[in-house]
Amino acid sequence: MENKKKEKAAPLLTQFLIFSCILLIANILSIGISLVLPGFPVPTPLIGLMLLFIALVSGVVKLEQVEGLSTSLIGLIGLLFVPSGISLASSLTLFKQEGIKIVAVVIISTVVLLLSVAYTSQLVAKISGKIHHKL
Amino acid sequence: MLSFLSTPFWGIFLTIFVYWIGQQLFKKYPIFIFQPLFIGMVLGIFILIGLSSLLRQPTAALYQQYKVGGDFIFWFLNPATMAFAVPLYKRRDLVKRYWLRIFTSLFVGLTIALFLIFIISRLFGLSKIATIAMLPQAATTAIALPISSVIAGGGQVGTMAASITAMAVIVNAVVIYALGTQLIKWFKLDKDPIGLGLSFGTAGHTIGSAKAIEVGEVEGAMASISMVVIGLIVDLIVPTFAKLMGLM
Repeated sequence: MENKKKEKAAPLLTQFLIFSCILLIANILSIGISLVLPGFPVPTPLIGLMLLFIALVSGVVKLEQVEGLSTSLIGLIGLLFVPSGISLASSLTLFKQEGIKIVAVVIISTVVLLLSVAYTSQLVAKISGKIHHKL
Repeated sequence: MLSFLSTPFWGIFLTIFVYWIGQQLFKKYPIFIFQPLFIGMVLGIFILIGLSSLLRQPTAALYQQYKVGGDFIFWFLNPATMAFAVPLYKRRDLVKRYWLRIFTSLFVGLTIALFLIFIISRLFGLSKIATIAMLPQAATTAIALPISSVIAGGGQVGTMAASITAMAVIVNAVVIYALGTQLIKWFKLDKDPIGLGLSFGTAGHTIGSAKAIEVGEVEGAMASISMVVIGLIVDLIVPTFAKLMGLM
């Protein structure tokens, strides 16, 4: 049963501590995995995401201890992408040679990704014999 | 005096400034091409190119200076990507109920898409680096970039591949934002709310999720779930795929 009464958000410092602690553990694990399997990178934030999810499900971390910071970070995610976008300035020579082709492939790939996932999902639903129109 | 360009203050300011301009433009003219992120990226690159011709320095050198501050902001993608555990946790009822369908759809869907993307890249005659950069684009930036960089072999080449992947992830989002509604109509995606959500999260990342929320609550929840799960699946199968195709 979901607890209906709204818990007070944890102090910002506590939220920072939880985030930085999980990220540190995730980073150590990521480095460890890269030593064992050098060709298979497991990025730190991906491990962090799984660790935080496990921590929430197991009750080690309470929702109100991470919710505020999570909401703020997700709200800012567009801004956080900007530096990676500007990093294209470092590959302008490659981009000048193949730029239009690359953009064309990306646009087609977007539609390919969309349709292959959507149609696979429809197929899986058909096979399992139940399409949920309303949940 | 120009040495301020190589302090973090410059890169941090430029990042926030170009994004802010993008947001203002988007508020005034809500057309897809004015997506704050897209404008921020294009404007930022143009400012760096402009400065480079003004100061008679190579653009790559100006980018290296920008990066000092840009990296501060970029780092926050780590906690921000991790933060998606919270919406995932809030909708764990949907995850529990549909986990098999979510996982199969994304796993099979991505495998098919990878083959098609590889073939399309070959048909367009993309170089090896660009082809590698196309593969992890279903994952969100913080997950896709390190994978792209490692597959390309790290170092300078890795950075190049990662920057192309970064652009791809942004263009994915812009395409889904611009054509999302039409694509739903053309391909009759709305008869399967789960599939619609999953595909929007995969193809359009955060912006795709925002678009899916406009369609419905289940669609939106599925899109944010798929963004997380697809990151995991990309991590599992893209390096293997690259090895099989002889790209690694």
